[in-house]
Amino acid sequence: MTVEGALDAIGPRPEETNVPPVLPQLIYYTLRIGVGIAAALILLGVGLLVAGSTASFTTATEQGSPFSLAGLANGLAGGRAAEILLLGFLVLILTPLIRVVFSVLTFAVARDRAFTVLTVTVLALIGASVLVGAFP
Amino acid sequence: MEFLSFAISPLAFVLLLALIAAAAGLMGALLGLGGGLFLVPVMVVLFGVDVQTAIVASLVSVIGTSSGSAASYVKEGLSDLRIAMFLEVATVIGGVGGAVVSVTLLAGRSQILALVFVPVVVLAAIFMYRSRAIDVRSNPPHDPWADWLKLHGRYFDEGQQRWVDYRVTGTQPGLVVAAFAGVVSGLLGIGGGVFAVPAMNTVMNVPVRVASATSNFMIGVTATAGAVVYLLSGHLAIGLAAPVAIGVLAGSFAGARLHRTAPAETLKGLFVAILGLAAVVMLLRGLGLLQ
Repeated sequence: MTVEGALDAIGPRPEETNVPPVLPQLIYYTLRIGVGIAAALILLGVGLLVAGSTASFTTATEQGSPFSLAGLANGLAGGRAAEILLLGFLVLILTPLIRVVFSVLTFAVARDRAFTVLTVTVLALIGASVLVGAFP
Repeated sequence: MEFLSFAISPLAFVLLLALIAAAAGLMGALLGLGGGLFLVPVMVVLFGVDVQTAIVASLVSVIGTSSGSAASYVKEGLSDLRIAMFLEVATVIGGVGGAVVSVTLLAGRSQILALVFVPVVVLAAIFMYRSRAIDVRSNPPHDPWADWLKLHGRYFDEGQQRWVDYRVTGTQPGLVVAAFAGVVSGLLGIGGGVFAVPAMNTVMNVPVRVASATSNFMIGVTATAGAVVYLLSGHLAIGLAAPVAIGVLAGSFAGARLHRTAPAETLKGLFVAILGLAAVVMLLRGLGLLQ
């Protein structure tokens, strides 16, 4: 068996992936930490919601009103269950976005022009969907 | 809150919903799907939730399961990040489009959404029933886009204990299927992996293990594209989405652990039967025969 073959037999070699090796690690930690924070906030929020009044729980199981940053800040300041939940979902939604931002930066630093353009396009499309969602 | 038309307390609602979502997440993970295909009909039929409200809750939970399970695939190098980020351009366009159609043209028309669900579930059941992993071809048709974007890759096959190289082909038809998977995701609150995985495997010549891990990774961004529209326009029911997200996350986490040992093939028949049942209830709901 050649040295190459022996190395291959040991197992995966992440440094041989076709992206800069730092990217999988950045993505791994982004996803793990993002989902962890979101899950903690959602658990806390749903606990507080169940402990609260049945009427406010019923409202929370129906579609609500358009998102407002001021409303979120006020609710969080008052420790309200609904806004803690909303923050949890915002973190959940931001998690994949942050990994796209890291991808843009990594490809830009590696001077991979095609993939910088592709990942920027994905960010721009989601930016457009923010506008569509905020001003329907 | 209700369960099978019985009024139940908030605590019972949260626990029951989380438990059933965990079962859906477990099934989804065993099959390499997000679980959304089971979740939406369950919320509609068992918990009396409006179809669109159920779809949005499912879509948001899909982000959690994708991000949770994809993390380890990415670390292991099993998700092909270049293929994922190439196809994401199409899935995101589809995801935003599907969500926009849902909140504008189909606003308040849950019956139509229920009817759209039916052919997608049937198609998914057929795909699942007939799906066979195809071995990568060593000399697929030459694809200039795949060369230019350096999409070809290699992965370590645990079954064969060796490195397997794959040459990607069919990038353009791949983009079309990815866009379709995105529309389905944004419109119906599922991941779209049931279409993306076979397409990557058969059309683009990607090994099925890599295709599955890559699809899982892509789904987070695809679902986010649609979820942003729903969340900002106030269509997310947080009290419904929370137990679903927690349950699905826990279920898919357990499922990912079992994945290497569970006999997925023998369970396939059961899943196809459940999907068939889901199609029937959504059809009845869409026709107004089931409330």
